[in-house]
Amino acid sequence: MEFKSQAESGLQLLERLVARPIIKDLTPLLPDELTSETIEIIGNASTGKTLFLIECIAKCIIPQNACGLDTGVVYIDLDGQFNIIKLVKIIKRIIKNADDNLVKACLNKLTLINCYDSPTLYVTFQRLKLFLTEQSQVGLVILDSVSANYWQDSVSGGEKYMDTYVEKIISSLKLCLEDFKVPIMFTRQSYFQSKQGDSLLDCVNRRILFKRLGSDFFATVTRRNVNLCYKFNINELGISEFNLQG
Amino acid sequence: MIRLNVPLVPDKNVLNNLFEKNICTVNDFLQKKTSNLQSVCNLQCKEITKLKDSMTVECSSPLINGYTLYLSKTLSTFIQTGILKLDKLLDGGLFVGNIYELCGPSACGKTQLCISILLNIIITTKKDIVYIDTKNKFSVKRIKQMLKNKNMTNNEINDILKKIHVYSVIDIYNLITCLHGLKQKLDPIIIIDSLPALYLSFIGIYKNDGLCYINHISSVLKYLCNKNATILITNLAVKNCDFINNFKPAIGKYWFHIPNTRLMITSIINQQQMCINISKSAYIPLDYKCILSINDHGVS
Repeated sequence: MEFKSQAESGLQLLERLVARPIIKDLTPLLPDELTSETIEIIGNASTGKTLFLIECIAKCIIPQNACGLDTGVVYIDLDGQFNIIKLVKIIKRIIKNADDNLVKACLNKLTLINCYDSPTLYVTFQRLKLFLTEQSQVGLVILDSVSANYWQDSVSGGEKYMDTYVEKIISSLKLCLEDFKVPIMFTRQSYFQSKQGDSLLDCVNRRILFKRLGSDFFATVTRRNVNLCYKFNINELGISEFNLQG
Repeated sequence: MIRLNVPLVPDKNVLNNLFEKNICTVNDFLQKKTSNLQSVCNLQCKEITKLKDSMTVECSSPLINGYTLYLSKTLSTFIQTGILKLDKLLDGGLFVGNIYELCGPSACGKTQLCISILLNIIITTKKDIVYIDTKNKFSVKRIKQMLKNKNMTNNEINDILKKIHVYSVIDIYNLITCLHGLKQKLDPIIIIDSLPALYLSFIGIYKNDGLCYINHISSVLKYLCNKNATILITNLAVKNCDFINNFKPAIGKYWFHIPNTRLMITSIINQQQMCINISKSAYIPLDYKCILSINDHGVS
């Protein structure tokens, strides 16, 4: 008989003992548990990417008794497209007659980071490590969008190959967050990929592809080579009615 | 790159040791193992960890609480353009903290529209406005004419002209310097006429240098927007070389996702009118449109 002793870092021990909320049933597109997954959201401008993220944030920060997940969210905003007023509108849509205190309690669970260049972004990833150690309620990290500083970086001697550029950023984010097992969601523009194809990047577990045809919106979820296509609507209240297409 | 310097690393000798080992930036330092750094710096493990932590906090972007942000955003509202049809189209006016893009073919009235909006804002709000002119065609004469037609006295006209801060920039580097200089201003309103004039000289050059600068400008603009700036930019539309001959913006795909709202302008031939179409927006339904007319008083 052989006994193996496994070494564990202090941080890993802490993570095992602290109950971090689990993201489950975030949206109809992601019905199952998302522990330490990386989800890529891809699409052209005005196909509903950022709105979809805002819907996800709303679902996370709303308390459990109102069908939410009661989870903290970190949102790294590189594009500057995040609109907090929209988020509050969506919260008020989900919780009918929400008062100011409830909105305050929800918004207190959201942490925003505005970042304007890549070197700062990399240091910010390290900062997240410290932040998540302190905050055990954070259960989701969002990066919007990964391509924001590509042109600046590529001229000053950075990575030129677009897919590798994405992988480099995401894997260094993952490295900082690996002990916490929180899922990561990130967006990129459709044109921002070196190879057009169905295969996922190595660091990505799922991909959601957003498309718009006229006034109809479509989202295709790819996971382990299985594609599911949903049709949805966008109106003043946000995203509604995900319908699975046959 | 964020270079290591004396306040970040308190001891100058330690700093020199790091430079000798080619550890020059904060990221280099953070990525090295603590045990390796111990020998380079001659410091204890505890001190290195402390240094790393303070560096991380010092050089990263600030974390903002969602509720704090919400409180700061509910106060700010929108600035009316003073052109009734346009305000109606835009659901009230120009929202503070947003980037608006006016895109249209040459001679469709982009500059006229900018000047009209500029004067209307000054007349109603008495705010200072920054006008960045890249083509050296800012015309005081035309402004005087528009104001005279509004029956203003010379003194009133002078007061209005004092509120306009015109920056003439001749190349993209000037523009970048100029925008960085505006970081100190409180809630600025900035009009850039026009961006492609500076960008077009880079087209066709290997390595996409032009896009790099546009990327940098976008970063600064986003920074300014976060500080409650309102930005209006004109962009040229050029004819596509395909059969349909549709107009497309001169700065391509990358730029498209920078402005919050894009207004496409098309001129209506021989009628001194222009048609404004929403072609990108986060909150207005796409393809809403309105028709404005241009005359001696400006655009209305």
